[in-house]
Amino acid sequence: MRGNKIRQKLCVVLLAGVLALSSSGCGAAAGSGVKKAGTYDPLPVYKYTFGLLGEDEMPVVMFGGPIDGFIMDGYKPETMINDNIYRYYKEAGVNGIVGTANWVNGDRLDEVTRILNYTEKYRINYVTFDTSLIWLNNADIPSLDDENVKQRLDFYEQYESFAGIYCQDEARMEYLDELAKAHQFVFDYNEKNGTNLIAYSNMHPYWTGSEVGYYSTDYTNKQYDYEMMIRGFMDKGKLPYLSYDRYSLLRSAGDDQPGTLDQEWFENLALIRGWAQEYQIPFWVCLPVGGWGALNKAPNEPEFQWLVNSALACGAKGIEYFPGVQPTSDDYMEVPNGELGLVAMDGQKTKYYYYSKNVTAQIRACQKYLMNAASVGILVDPASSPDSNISNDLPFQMPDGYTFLLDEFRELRSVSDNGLVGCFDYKGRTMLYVMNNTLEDEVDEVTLKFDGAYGYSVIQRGIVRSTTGKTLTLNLNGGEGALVLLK
Amino acid sequence: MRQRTKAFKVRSAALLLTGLLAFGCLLPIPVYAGLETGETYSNSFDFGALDGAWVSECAQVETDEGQEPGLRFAGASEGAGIVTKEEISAGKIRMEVDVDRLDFSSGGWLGFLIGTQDTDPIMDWNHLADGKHVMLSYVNGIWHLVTQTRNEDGSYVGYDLVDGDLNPIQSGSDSESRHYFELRKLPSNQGVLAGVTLIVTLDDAGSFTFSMKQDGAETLLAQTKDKQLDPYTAGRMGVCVMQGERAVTGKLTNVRVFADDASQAAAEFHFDQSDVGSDYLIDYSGNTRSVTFGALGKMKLTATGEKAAYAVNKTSAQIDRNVVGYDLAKNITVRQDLYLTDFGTDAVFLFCFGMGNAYDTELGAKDTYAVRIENASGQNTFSVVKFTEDGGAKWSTLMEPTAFGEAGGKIPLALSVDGDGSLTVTVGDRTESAESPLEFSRNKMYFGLWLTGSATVKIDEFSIRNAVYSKPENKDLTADFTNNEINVNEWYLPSWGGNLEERYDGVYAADGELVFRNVNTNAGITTKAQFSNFDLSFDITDIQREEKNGIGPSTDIRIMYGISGYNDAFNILYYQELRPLISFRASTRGTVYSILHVENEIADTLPERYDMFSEAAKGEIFTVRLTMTDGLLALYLKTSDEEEFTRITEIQTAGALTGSIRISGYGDGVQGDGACSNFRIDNLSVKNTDTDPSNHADYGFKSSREWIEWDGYEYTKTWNNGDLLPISGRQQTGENSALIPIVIGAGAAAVILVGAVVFWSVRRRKKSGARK
Repeated sequence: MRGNKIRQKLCVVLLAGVLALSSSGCGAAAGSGVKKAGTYDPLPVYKYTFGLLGEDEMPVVMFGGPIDGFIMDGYKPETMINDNIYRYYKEAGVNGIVGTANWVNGDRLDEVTRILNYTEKYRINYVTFDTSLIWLNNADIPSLDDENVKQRLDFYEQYESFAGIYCQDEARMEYLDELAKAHQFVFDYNEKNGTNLIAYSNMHPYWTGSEVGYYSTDYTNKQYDYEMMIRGFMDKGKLPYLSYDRYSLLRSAGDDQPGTLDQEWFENLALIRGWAQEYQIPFWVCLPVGGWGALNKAPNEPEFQWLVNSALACGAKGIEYFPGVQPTSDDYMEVPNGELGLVAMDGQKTKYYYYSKNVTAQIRACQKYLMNAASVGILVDPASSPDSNISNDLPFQMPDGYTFLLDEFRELRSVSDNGLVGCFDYKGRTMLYVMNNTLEDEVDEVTLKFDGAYGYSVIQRGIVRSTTGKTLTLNLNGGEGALVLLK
Repeated sequence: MRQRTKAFKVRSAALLLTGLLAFGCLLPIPVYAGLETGETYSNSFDFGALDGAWVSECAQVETDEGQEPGLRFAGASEGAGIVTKEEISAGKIRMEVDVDRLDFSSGGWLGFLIGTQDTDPIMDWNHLADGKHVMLSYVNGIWHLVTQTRNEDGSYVGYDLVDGDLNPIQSGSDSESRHYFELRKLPSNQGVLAGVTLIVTLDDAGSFTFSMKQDGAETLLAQTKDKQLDPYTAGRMGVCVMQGERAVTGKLTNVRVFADDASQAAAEFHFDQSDVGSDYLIDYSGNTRSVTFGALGKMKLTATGEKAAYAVNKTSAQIDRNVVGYDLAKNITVRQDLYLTDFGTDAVFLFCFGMGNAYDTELGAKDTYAVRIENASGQNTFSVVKFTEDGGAKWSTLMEPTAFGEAGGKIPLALSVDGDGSLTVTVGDRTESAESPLEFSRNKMYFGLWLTGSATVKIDEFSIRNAVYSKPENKDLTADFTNNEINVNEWYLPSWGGNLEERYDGVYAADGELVFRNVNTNAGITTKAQFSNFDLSFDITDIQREEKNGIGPSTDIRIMYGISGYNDAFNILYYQELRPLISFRASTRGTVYSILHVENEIADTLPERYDMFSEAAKGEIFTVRLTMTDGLLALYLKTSDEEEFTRITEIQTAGALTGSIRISGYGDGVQGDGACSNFRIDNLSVKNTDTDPSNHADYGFKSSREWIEWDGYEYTKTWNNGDLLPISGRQQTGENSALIPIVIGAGAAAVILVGAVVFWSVRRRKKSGARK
């Protein structure tokens, strides 16, 4: 009996221990003085998924996929569409494709059918560019009751991976009324059929000085600025997400040399983030997958990591790649095969397949937290500045109380050693997305200092570890990110 | 390879052979190799100082009387011009351009570059379409100011300018006319501007004016009213010209740029300097003679009795013993205009040649030669001498003194030496040849001018031409496109050049032929090897003769040669360098003509049986043959039913031009005016027809399909997981890793483990105790 009592006491002790550790974090390493991190009123979270995506699955969407036909060196293979390409996309972490087949090659269902057969096989969302449904530049938005439209949508509905319809890339002010109709076309279809198709439209980035003329089809028209463009797009288009593209990495020398930033990367993130918060929707960022033209540098892996992780740190809830495969128009075709897109035109893996695979392993491990966390701002080691233009002083009206650059955040006091920290509320708890804010191919010890000793769970490279202390030091490659949850 | 029967091939070969023999094409290999006649040096002495090509003493450039320095456009074409080297910051910028004379009577443009950021290329059509630059043009007897910027779709939009009285001056309402503004107060003068200052201003709000000043009076010609130009931001200022039907000629005497109404110019172009790069940037648009500076002048040699004057040119000429007997050019030709300004009986002018060293400025090195001009008996004579000892004191006479006349003071002096040493000299109105060939100790020679006695002479228009054989190493090339393959080691086919709307477009092999589908000027097939004399042939197997899918009948089938870089895109220099551009082109339906471009367009209608663009020709195969023999270009055609080629045209060009050979399309594609080429060719071959051709190269075979057979990117980076935090708790990898349950689970597991150990220990201790 006495043994039973002892066992009963021990059970009580065990239970108390479990509870104590549960509340204070990792018991094994918890030394004296480790405090429980604060709990806060949860902040609102805005997220959006579509098609086959799960509720917490972060979109990693590729703009432009394989199509039929292209020419290089006088050789014209019939098609880029093959099983390997889609398998590689899947392996690289891509879960959505905005296809351009119909755009490039005309209205050919056989081409789209072959694509959908592969997206179906690999469970990748396919957003179709279908000129018979929506082609803003050339035709009115049709009625859902139109028999041809019905037939076309019936065709698509055979495929679970059919996930949306392309509406417009980089719209201009004059398009917005028509674009609103295009989006409504998709919204109506969803309502009628209980589907969750995305109406895909992407927005311009902001360039300093681009308020003159750029957002109109008439370049001399100076009445529109970027804020008018975005607000017009949001007010009329009513999309549940805000996507924009920005290719800030510039070629200072060859692609094998380090790139430079145009000093407008974070300014763009700050603006889009602010407007997305105001409209209570998430934002997505489209990133370059290769270099083209005279300016756009092909990112190396630290630069690629930096682009993705800085977007995540600022609260992006979707990543887009451009291009998915080398576009077959003149300027892009001047880039050697294999240097542009996740997969080369001939179906071989490019470097970006590997870069994406690495970075999306981290995204997938973190997405449950990232998709359910509210971005509060960022903290930056001022000495780390590939883009030193990080400021709350923004050129356009932001929502009341909007903050971007923080001095400290809850328990976090500072970051040093090239660190940049995205500060989030995760269901009332403090969550940080820490990155090495350098484009260099180097490992830095990024150190966070807190107001006390806490327990931390860390996800880095998709691996979860934990530790305690008043400071937290993470070894991060150039551009690499890690998620930290305070306990 | 287009499918044909074996019998057909044999018959074709026999017919071809017969035809070629009939034309003498397979008769002995052409006598000459590829003669290139290049000008290696020329100078009109229009700056205030001799350029660096001369080693001289008592020699200088002197401006002709009455001449004013300026910037001269001569044969300037696309975008030749000048901008400030530095960017100029201002809230308002004003540029004044003093025009001595500009001739736009055959069309053309004067572009005002206002705040441009670019330096390379400085002047470009695209730069003039970005919203703040303007152009002056003469159209239909009226001067126009053209403001333009491009819409997204490539069309132009204007700015609604008004005149000085705020009256509209737009020339029309259609999309083309609405960016042309009439300047009726600018005197028409048949398209020639003379003695006028043109003034543009632009401020940082985009407010713009365009004025003229003549005889001290300034007249406002055009200004913005409601719609402003792009605002001025700090940038470079300058002007450029672009050709209309003909290249632009003219002269500007000054350009001044003022910032913020300052009276002192922020930049002023100094056209009297030779170091033109110090103040501004120049775009010669590929032709260094199209933009020149300074004032017209001459080189002056002044000798005193004690001191000779001399100028030795540092440009050498190569003696090529294969260049003999050409009508087209001698091996070495040096020309100059000589003025005997002060030339007494003690004066001797020597034009020395055969010199071995440009820095050997002692007169008369042993075994060198000179044309000797003197006035010993009051009559100007010339002779040719050979110095027999160093120092010029002793010589032998090769050509006895000959009196010559002069016209208007200018004495043309020309010397030509052929590869065998034969010499011809022209002085004034006399031309004499040496009786026996000269012997030169070296294969390379320099030229010098000497003046002794008390005398002054002037030299103008000095040039050296050096014709040489060009025998590039290559091999005879063929491409029959069997298996839709091309040897890309031998042929270059750009991936670009197709119509941008249809990604199937471009140049590619299909059905055993080479297809040109909806291509523009830059799409083609080009030899990677260079040729001088060549024999090119290919079959035109199909041409799109009707409109299809909104794309009209095919535009040109073009042939080019002498392309210096096989991957060079086409540009207008091809015309300027006087290379014939052969185009087969449909003029109107049913009429066909070929055009040979030699600077200006020449058009010849093809014989009716070669009306390849006509409907009647559908299904016919036309074989094209183009030969270059030392400057003689010959074009032949043959249908598949004909045994012999017909010579269509023959033209004597300035000489062979070593380079790549290209067959291309023509047009802008649907993004331009919709013009593009659609045709097919087959059985392409290029033969080297140089004397003793250097056709020994072996380029190996690389299939056009090979590029696609790589193994993908080799990713070698290894991520060092030693970078990660030490394990504390249970490691978990993969998607949606659950942080809190792991922590709780890890903690609980640890506690349970500890508890279990304690519990087990207690039990063991109790048991032990019991045993005690």
